[in-house]
Amino acid sequence: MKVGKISALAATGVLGALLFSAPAMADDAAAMMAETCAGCHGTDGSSMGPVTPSIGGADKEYFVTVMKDYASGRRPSTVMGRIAKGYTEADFQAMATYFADRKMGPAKQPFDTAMVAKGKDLQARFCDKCHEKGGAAGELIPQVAGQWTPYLEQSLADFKSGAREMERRKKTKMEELAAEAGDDGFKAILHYLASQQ
Amino acid sequence: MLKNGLKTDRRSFIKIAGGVAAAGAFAGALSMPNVARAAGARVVVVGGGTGGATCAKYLRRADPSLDVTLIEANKEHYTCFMSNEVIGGERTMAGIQVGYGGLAAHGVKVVHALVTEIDAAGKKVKTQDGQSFAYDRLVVAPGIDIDYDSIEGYDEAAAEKMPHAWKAGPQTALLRKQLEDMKDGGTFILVAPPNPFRCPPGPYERASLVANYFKQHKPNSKVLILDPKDAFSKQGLFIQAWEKFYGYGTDKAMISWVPASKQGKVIAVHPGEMAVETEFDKIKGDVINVIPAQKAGKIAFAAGLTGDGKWCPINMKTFESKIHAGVHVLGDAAVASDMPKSGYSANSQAKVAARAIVAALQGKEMAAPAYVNTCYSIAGPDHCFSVAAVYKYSDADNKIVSVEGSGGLSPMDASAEDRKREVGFAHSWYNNIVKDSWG
Repeated sequence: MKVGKISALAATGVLGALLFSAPAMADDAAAMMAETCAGCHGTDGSSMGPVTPSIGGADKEYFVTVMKDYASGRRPSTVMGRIAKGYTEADFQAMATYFADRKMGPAKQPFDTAMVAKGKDLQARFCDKCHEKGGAAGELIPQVAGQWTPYLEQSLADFKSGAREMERRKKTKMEELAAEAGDDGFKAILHYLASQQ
Repeated sequence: MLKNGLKTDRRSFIKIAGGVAAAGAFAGALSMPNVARAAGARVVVVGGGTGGATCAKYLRRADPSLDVTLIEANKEHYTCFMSNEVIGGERTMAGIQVGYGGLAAHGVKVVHALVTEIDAAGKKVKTQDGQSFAYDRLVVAPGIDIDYDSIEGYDEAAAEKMPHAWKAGPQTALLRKQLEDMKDGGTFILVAPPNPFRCPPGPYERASLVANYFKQHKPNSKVLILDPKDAFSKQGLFIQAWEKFYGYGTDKAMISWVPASKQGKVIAVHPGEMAVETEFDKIKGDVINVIPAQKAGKIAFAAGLTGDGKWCPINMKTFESKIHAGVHVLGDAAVASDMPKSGYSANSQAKVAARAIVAALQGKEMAAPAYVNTCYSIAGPDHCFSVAAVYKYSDADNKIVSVEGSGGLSPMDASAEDRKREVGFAHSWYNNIVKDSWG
């Protein structure tokens, strides 16, 4: 304990010195950029909803990819394309680091408890290979557990309409899910994801 | 000519006076041990609107050792944003009300009092009830005041009959009540303000939402906009929506817009007759919403922060006043070049100002700032559009400039689905900016 305290103190000293250094300046610049997002996406990227998604805790590489796709128009949007065009890739990296360091506050929203079990089963069989741990993890993909349902509904609508591209594997799984469980299956999964608060 | 001559005289006088004040502050800084200022430094924030509240919160986030006191006269704040939904009957007053408990939870000391004096040389502020607060850095975020001198016959008493409802609160509730009491077949006159003013698309969103209310509940009523300008924010998008929902441009139009070039400029009001006067005509209305010219909030003038203008000149990187060193002005009261006077702007500027203050207190150079504005306008059922901008700071000319190729308006040919989605984003924006600003 004592040793820990001393190193904590030493670290504080080091931190104090760092305040005047170049990396701290870069952190401040990144923070100022990332903090401009909070007006729509919430303090630290935890959205109060109901439609704007939480971006706190987002996978770094996923964040950069999404921003590039918004800027290029590859991913359709109402406003994000116009905003994404204001930044360089280095800016995206800096903001991605800021948000990856934060935690996603789960959306406090209602869900139908009667649909959660069915949703959990379908999620495990059709989605969990990529959206791991019940949608709470995964590589290069967003955390969908605890995300705002109206946002996820819009995303699903865009995938179904073809407005958003899907990888072959994802497309196949979505089709299999639709064939087995229909729209109610998707709904059940959304209730399951919303239940993780 | 004489007027111009006087103006120049006044300007040079203020320049000299400002120079003296700045020199005084500089001497003060030299005699102070710079290093000791950072930890536990006192920052006082005057004004608990969007800019002031955000700045207080983000100061404490950036440096939890700071002693931050926010002084605001009112115990509850009513946001101007979404107040047009209240006026249109889509939202209650409680739906735009926010308290200060959230800021207290961030360690901000909230004092409810009216600041009446700023002593920039002595670094303290005084309140109407006799309290005095010393500071190391001061933030002044007073928002706007109505310029009662701009329209003949319009004063505080007239505003009780012809509300401006441009500072949310009792004025918002009053205008809503008048619209509810109005008979079907009545005329609602909206007198639009000259540039620059708070929330550039606001008057036109208000006209839209009042027309929406009429269409549902008083279908024989009309909205008449009298404008001292020939163009307005998001004009193409508003007119497209008015054509779609309110028969704009037809003989059954529920909204008419009279620009300056067609004698739309109101020069006088007659509250007794419920009439407004242009150079051409006297027009009667059943409900009249007069949104006059605006200026920085009262305390900005009292403290000499406005120079010889109506708004506060600042360093656009740090938001420090160009007149008083150690005093930062942000939000609607400040001149922030390209940025409009909007809630999002104030929220964004406040975070930059907070970093600038922390850097100054630590005696270091601040990092490169970043700013954003996003502004939604709801023009009808499931119909909303936005303007967005990403800004950087330009060292060369000390200006906030919009990043080339970014931002802009929602497209004219957006799908109905996208217009509907923007309503959802507008409401989500509201929930988030309120939480981000007031804790």
